[in-house]
Amino acid sequence: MLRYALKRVVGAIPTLFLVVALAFLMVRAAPGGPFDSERVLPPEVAANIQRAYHLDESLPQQFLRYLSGVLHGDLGPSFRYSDYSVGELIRASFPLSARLGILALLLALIVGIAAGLVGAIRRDTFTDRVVSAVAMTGVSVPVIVIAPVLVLVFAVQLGWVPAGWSGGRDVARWILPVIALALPQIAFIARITRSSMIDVLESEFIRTARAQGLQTATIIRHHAMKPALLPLLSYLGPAVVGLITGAIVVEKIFGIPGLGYLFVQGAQNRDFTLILGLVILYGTLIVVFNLAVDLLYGVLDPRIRRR
Amino acid sequence: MSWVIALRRIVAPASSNRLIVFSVTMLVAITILAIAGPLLSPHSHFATNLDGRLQLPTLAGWHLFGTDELGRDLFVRTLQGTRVTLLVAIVASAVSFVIGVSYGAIAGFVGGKTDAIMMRIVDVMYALPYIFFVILLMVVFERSLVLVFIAIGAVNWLDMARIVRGQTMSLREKEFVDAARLFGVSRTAIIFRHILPNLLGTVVVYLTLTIPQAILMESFLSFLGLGVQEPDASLGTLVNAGVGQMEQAPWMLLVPATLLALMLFCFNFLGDGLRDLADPRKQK
Amino acid sequence: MSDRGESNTLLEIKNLSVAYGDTKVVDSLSFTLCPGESLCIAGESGSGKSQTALAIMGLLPPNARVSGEVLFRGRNLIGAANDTLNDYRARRMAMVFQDPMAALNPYLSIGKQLRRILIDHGMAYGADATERALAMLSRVGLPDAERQYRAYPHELSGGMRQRALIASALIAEPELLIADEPTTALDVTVQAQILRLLGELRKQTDVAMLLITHDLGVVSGNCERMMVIDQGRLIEQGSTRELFANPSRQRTASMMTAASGFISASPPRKSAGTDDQGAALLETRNLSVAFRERRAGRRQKLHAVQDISLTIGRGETLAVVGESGSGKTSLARAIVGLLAESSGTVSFLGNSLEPLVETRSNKIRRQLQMVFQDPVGSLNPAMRVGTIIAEPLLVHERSMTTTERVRASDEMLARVGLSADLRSRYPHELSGGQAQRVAIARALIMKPAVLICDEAVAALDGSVRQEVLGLLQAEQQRSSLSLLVITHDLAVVQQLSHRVLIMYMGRLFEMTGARELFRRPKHPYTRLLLDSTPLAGRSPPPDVPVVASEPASILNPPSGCVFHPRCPHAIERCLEERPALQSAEHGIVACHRAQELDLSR
Repeated sequence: MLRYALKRVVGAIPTLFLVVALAFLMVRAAPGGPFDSERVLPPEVAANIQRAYHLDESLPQQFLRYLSGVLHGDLGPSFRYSDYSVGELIRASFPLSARLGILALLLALIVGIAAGLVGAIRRDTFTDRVVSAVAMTGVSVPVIVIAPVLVLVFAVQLGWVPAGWSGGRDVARWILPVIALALPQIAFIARITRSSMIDVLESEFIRTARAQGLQTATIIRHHAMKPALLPLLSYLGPAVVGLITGAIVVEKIFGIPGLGYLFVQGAQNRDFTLILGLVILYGTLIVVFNLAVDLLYGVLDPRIRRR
Repeated sequence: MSWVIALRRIVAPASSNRLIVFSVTMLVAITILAIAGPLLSPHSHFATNLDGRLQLPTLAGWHLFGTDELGRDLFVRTLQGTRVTLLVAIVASAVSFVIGVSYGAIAGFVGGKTDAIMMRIVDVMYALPYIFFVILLMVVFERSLVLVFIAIGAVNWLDMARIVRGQTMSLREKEFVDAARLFGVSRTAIIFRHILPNLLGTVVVYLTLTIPQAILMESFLSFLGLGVQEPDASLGTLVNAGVGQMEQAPWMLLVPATLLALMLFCFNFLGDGLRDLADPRKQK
Repeated sequence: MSDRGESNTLLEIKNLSVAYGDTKVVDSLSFTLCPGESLCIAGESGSGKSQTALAIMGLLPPNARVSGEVLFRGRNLIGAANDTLNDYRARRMAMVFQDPMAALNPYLSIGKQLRRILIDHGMAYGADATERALAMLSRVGLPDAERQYRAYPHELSGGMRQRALIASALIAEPELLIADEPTTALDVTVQAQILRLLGELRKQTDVAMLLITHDLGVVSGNCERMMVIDQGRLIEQGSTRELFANPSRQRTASMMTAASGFISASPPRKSAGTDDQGAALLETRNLSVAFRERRAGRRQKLHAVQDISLTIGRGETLAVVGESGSGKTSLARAIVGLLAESSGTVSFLGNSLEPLVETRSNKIRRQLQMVFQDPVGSLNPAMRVGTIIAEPLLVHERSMTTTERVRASDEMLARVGLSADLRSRYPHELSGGQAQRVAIARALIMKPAVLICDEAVAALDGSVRQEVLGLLQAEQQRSSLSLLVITHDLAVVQQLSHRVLIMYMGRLFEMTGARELFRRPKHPYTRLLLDSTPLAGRSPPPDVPVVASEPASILNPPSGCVFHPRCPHAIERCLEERPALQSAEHGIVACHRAQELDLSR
C-alpha cells in the first residue's frame, strides 16, 4: 500500500510540472508575443515593461523565474489590472467559487447516488424508467442550455428567485446557480451508480449472499454498496473538471464574481498572466484531486491495498 | 469481405432498436435541414435589418424562428450554427478514427517497449486538464473555426486510442490469431483480416460516444466567445446571444438551445444503444 | 420450526418445470431426498441440472417461469415470499457454487462474509460469531484459520476458496447441502481433496447432499443414489452402484465412457506404418520457457518450462499431462513457435527449427499444426466457416482458384463429419463440438505431420468429447498423423496416447508408456494424479489427504524436488537436492526414491 501511494504521489509531480511548462510556453508562443499591443509605446517605456516582466531574459530563465514564483505561491502581476497581482485577484474570488463548487458537488453526490440506487434496486419499474429518462436528459442538455433556461423559467417568468447575483437574500441567491451547476453531474452520477449497482446485483457473489438467506437490506448494505460505489470514485476526477468548466458558464450567466467570472473577463481582456495563473491553478486542483482519488482507491479496494 | 460481415453484425440488430432508429432519423432530418434550409430561405445569416429587430417567429417575412437584436434572420442563423455543430461532429470522429484507431492499433499490436512508450504519452496527456489548455489556446491565438477543430481533434483521439489498444491486445492473444500465425499468415494480413474487422464494433460505438463530447466542447467555447466569431454563428454563440435578450425575446434562447440539446440527445441515445448492443452481457 | 415428523422425506420435488420464454429447461422433474441421504444429479451442460438447484433455493432470475412443487419437510417453497425463503436458506438448505472466485465477495474478508450469515440469521453476535466462524474455517481443513479469516478471496488459492465457500454454506448447520459442480473449476488433485472433505463433513454433520455434476467420475463413492437428466427430463435413476454396473440408457452409458475411459478401455496400440523405434519425427532438447514477470515492482523470471527433452515418432501419440500451472501449454506453444521466450532446440526430421514460427519456412510451418482449447475462440468471429477452413490454402496453395478452395474446404468439412451447409455459418452459430471440428479441419487441410492438441476436448461435454477424440484417432489411422496431446485428464490419455509425459511446475517428472503409467507409476506425483482422478465405480482411495495441499507458487519454487511439500514419501534428500532424470523400466523418472518405491496397486 505504501509503495502504491508513493508511486502515485511521485507520478503526479511530472504531470504538475508539465501543466506549468505547457501553459507557460503556450502564452509565450502567442503570435508576436503577448506583450505586443496596438499602441506604439515610447522605447524607454517598452524597455521598462520588458524589464518589469523580465522579457529581456532568455526563455529558460523566464521559465525558471516563473516556476520558482509558482512554487512560492506568486503568480506575478496581472497584465491588465496592473495594480493587482494575479494571486490577489484569485484569492479574492476563490471563496465564492469554492462554495459554489462544493455545494454543487454535494448536491450532485447525494441526489445522483440516491437516484441511481433507487433505479438499480427497482430495476425496470416505472421509477427506474423515470430515473433513466431524467438522467439521459441531464447528460444531454449542456450547462449553457440548463443555466439560462432555469433563469428564464424560475427567475424571469415565475419570479421565485432572483435572476442576478446582486438581488435577494443569501440562500435564495445560491439556489439556481448550485442547481444549474449540479444538474449535469447529478445525471452522470445517477447513470454510473445505477449501471454499476445493476452489474453488482447480477454478480455471482450476490447470488451467494441470497443463497445465504441474508435480508435484501443486508445484502445491499454489506455486500453490494461498496463494489457498486467504487466506480464512482474514478468519475470524481472528470466530475471536478465538469464542475470547474460548468462554473465558468454559471458564474458568467449569474454574474457571480468568482474564478470563472475572472476567467471570462481575463479571456476577453486577453489578460495573459491572469489566464496563465488560473490555468495553472485549475490544472493543479485537478491533478491533486485525481491523486486523492487514486489514494482513496488504494484504501478502499482490498485488491490494491494488499499489494 | 470480413469487413462487410463485421459491419452487418452492427447494423442488423441496430435497425430493430427503436431508440437508435429514432435518433438516426432525427439526425438525418436535422442534417438535411441544415444543408438545404439556408439555401431555400430568402435571408442570409449576416444581413442586418434594424427595422425588424427582435421579431417573433412568423411566416410573414419568412422569419420562421424570428429575428435577433440586429434584425438578422434566426432561422438561417440557427441552421448555420447547426452546420458548425455537424462539422464538429464530423471532424471529431474523423480525427478520433484516423489518429486514435491507428495509434491504438499500433501500440496494441506491436506491444512491448513501443507500446509502453506510446501509452505513457497518452497517460500524461490524459492527466492534463486539456480543456483549460484549449481555452488558453483560444485566448492566446487568433480565434478561428480551424483552431477549434484542431483543439478538439488534439484531445479527442485519446479515449479511442486507449480503447482500441486494449481491444487489439486482447484480440492479439486470441487463439484464432495464434492459429493464423501457425499457418503463416503475414503480419499485415493478420492485422487487416483478423484484428481490424473485429475492432469495428467497438470503434463505431466509441465514435458515436465521442461526438457529443466534441459538440459540448465547441458550444462551450463559442458560448464564452472563444470559438466561432461573429458574424458567423454556432449554436453556442446563439445561446449566448439569447441569454442577453432572454427577457424581451425568449425564443432567441429557446430555439438554438432546444436544437443543441436535441442533437446531443440523439448522439447520446445512438451511442448508448450501440454500446448496449455490443455488450454481450446485455444480449439475451 | 420443528420437523413435521409425518414423513421421512426432507425434500420432495413434484413436477418441477422451469421455462424461459418458450424454452423449457427443466421439464416435469420429480424426486425425493431423505434426511442425511446423498443424491447426485448428473447431466451434460444445458441439461437443466443447475436450474433445478436454483429453483429449489428460490434463486432463479425473475424472467424464469417455474411450476410444480418443491416441498421442504412438506412445505412448498415455490412461490413463497423472499422472507419465508430466507428462513430456509442457510439454516435449512445451503448451496455451494462452481466458481468460488466469483461466488465470494471480493471486497469482504472471508471472516466477515461468514459472520454476516450468523448475525443476519440471529444465530450469534460479536465475539461469539467470530469464534464460530473461525471454528468453521478449521473444520473445512483450512490451515491457520485465523489468517484465512482475515484474508480476501483473491489471496487464497482455488482449493482454499472452495473450502471457504463450503464453510459459508455449512456455518448455519443446514439439513441440506446443494453442491453445484463444486470441483469443476479445480485441479484434479485438489478436486479429490474437496470431494473427500465433503464426504467427511457429511459423516460428521449428517447433512443431506444434492451433488450436481457433469462428471460421472465424481459421483461414485460420493452419492448413494443418482439420477441422470437430459434436456430437463429425468432419463434414468437408481442406486449409484446399480446404474454404473448396468446403465440402461445410451446417454448414461456415453457419459460413463467419457468419465471412466481408462478403467474399461486399454491404451491404443500403435497402428501399422508406425516406425516404432525409428528416427524421431519431432524432437525437443532441453526446451525451456522463462517469462519475465513484474510482481510488486520487482522483475522476476518465471520458469514455466525447464529442460524438457522429448521425441515423437510418426503416427505416435504422446500425451503431456499436468495440472494448471504445470507449463504444459507453454511447452506446446514453444514447440510450434508461438513463444519468443523459449530456449533449447526443437527439431523436425533432424533439422533444428527457428524458435519463432514467423521465421520458419512455409514448408516446415505446415507440418506442425495446433488445435486449441477454446473451440469458439480459435475461430475468427468475423469469418464464415468455409473461409476459415480455406484460409491456410491462401498461404500454402497460392495457385488454387477460389472454386478449388471451396471444394477443398467442403471436402474437409465432410472429413471431420460436418455437413457442407455449415460453410456459410459464423463461428458463434456453431456448437462447441462443431467449432472444434472446424478448427481440426483448418489444421488438417495443410496435411501436417504433427498435430498438437492443447486441451482440445476440455471444453466439450462427455458425448461430444468422445466423438472428437474418435475423430482424432481416425485421422491418425488414416494418415499416420503424430499427435502431441496436452491434457489434464487421464481419461483422454488412456484413450489416445501411446506414451505419456508427466509435468509438474515446469519440470518433467516421468515419461513412460501409457500402459506402464497406469499399472506401475514410478513417481509419487503420478500416483497422486492416478488416485485423485475420480473413477466411476470406485471410491477415492483413503490416503488422499484432507488438508489443503496445493502446488507452491511457481515464482517461488520449493527447494530440492519441487514436489517435496506434497509428497508422502519425501525424505531429507528431497528437500536439498533436485532429482536428476534416471531411466526406469519403461521410461524415465525424476525421483530420488524411484528405485526403492513400489507405487503399483
